[in-house]
Amino acid sequence: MKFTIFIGQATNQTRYELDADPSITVLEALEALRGGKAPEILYRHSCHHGSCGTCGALVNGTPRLICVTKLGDLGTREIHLKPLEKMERLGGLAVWPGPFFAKLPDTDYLRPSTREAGDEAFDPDQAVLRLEDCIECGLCFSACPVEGEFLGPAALLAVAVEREKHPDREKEMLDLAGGPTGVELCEKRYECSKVCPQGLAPGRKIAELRKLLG
Amino acid sequence: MEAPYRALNALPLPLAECKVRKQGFSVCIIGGGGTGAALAYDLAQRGLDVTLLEKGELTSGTTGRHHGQLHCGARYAWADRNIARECYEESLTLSRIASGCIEYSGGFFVALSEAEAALQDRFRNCCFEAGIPATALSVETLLSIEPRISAKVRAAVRVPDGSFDAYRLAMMFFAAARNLGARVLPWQEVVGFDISAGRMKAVLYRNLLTGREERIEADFVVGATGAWTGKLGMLAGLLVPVSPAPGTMLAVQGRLVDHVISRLRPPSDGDILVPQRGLTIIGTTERRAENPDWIHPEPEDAELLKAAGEEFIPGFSALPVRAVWAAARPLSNMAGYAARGDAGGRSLSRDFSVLDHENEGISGFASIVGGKATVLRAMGEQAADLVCAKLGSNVACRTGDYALPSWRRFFDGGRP
Repeated sequence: MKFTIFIGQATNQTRYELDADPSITVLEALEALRGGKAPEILYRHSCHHGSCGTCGALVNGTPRLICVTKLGDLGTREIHLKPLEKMERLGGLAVWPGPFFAKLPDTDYLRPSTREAGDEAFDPDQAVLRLEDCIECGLCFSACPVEGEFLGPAALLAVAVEREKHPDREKEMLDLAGGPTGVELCEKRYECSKVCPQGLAPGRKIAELRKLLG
Repeated sequence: MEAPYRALNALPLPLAECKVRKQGFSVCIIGGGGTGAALAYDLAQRGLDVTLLEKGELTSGTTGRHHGQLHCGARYAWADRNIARECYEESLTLSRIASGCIEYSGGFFVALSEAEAALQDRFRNCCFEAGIPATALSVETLLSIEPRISAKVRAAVRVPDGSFDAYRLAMMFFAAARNLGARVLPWQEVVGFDISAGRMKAVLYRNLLTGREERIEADFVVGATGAWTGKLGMLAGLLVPVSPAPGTMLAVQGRLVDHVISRLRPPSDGDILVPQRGLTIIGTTERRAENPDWIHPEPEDAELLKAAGEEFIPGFSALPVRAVWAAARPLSNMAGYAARGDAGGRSLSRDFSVLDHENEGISGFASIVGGKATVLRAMGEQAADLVCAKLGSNVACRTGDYALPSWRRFFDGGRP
């Protein structure tokens, strides 16, 4: 199937034609182009299975992880790719995510594992420590309509999770959430929850923090 | 009961307490994967002036695509006790210094047939000889801990495996390297070398962000380019016997297990299940390829892996697939190099080596060949030992003593 891929901003856009199986991902399409006729394409990628959080980009206007977005699922053969918003742009789709990481608090990235519902045989006393679900991809940060000093959805999600996990950090976390860069700047548009590739609903966590803070 | 492996180890020191004495030598590392990351940190900690060049994003080659099994070495104990022992030591070290991105929960080798169950004593003996604690547990106990495992299970052995976030583990080493002053530069593609009178003088590279060609002089240059080692060698006129060996992995939605599960049999395709957040990964397959820049799964790989997953966990093959991907492992054919005695006496018992290209007529240049993710720190140490010996510096390795900073700290202080 023939696809046309546009990379970059409207004013500085490069167009590529690719004949590809619609079951391949946008990342695989870029890899095929870069390994062949377009070695100059710049994009971030690492794990190729939606765990590292590096490959976010705007795909036809929506922030997505390109490693788990299939060409055939986009409903069009014209694919417009742009770098994520609010990051430092390097060229092509590549960004420096420093502005996003600067807002993330230092929190514990491990938590006790809980199995999915229906796993009755699971004994919570045997819970192992597993990695947190947030992969810090910045899609929510990019999608959030609030500009400026706002900590943003991923950081406030981390604050909420840390507070639940570590009661000794409750005051510190609530101070962050209730501070001038915290939940009061949220406009409750829930764009964050719509784009989260892990289904983590940061918007709801922000609402919960707001309720706690009274 | 989970074995509290972490409690076996003393706490590492904070990196802020690490004092570095400048040695006055400069080193250029090529390749921004896990090996380059560990080497950059090691050399920066020993006081060398480090610049690392990576042609794409950091960890975008092979490192990030790893399934994340922290190998205690049991998998390798069948064939080579020394490699297994080193894996175990390194898994313990990583669990101390990089605990923030590791699920150090242990793993199980499961026998899914009578024939596999008959291998149990031999397997445990191999582990014992390598110094790896491997204890038998009853099928009932296994199924109480991992209830989704197939009822065909006939025997199970607990080992101190774990799993890690492959991207974040490497980024913790990069964060430490940057913290100690190393320049870690992605989007810089090496295009040639300046070699004169048998000596490496400078590395020529193109800044892919600006399009400009640049040059960096260094007292020593180390290639840490994994499956790209053959390609890099050619730029220097060397024939380094490394080629890409792609392996495919498949992730399904759902955290089906909380521990790494391996087949109780010598290593083969589709014999490892690794939990990764809300996913379960099955790996791997192995093929050969020519071009490491275009590695992709073959259609039949996904079916093979789904069928292998189904053997571990009934229903696996019907679960929604999150991703199927391939990574280019470096496959080395070192037969011709075996007698050279590169990088110390232990190298022949390892699955990686550091090639000193002075043996081919280029001094000041070495390549790290082979290896695996779990031993990245040891690979960095061995390469750093060679670099320091060549430069006449005798500072010892300390990378096992300090806790690595969070990967988040890599992004502090603006773009490198």
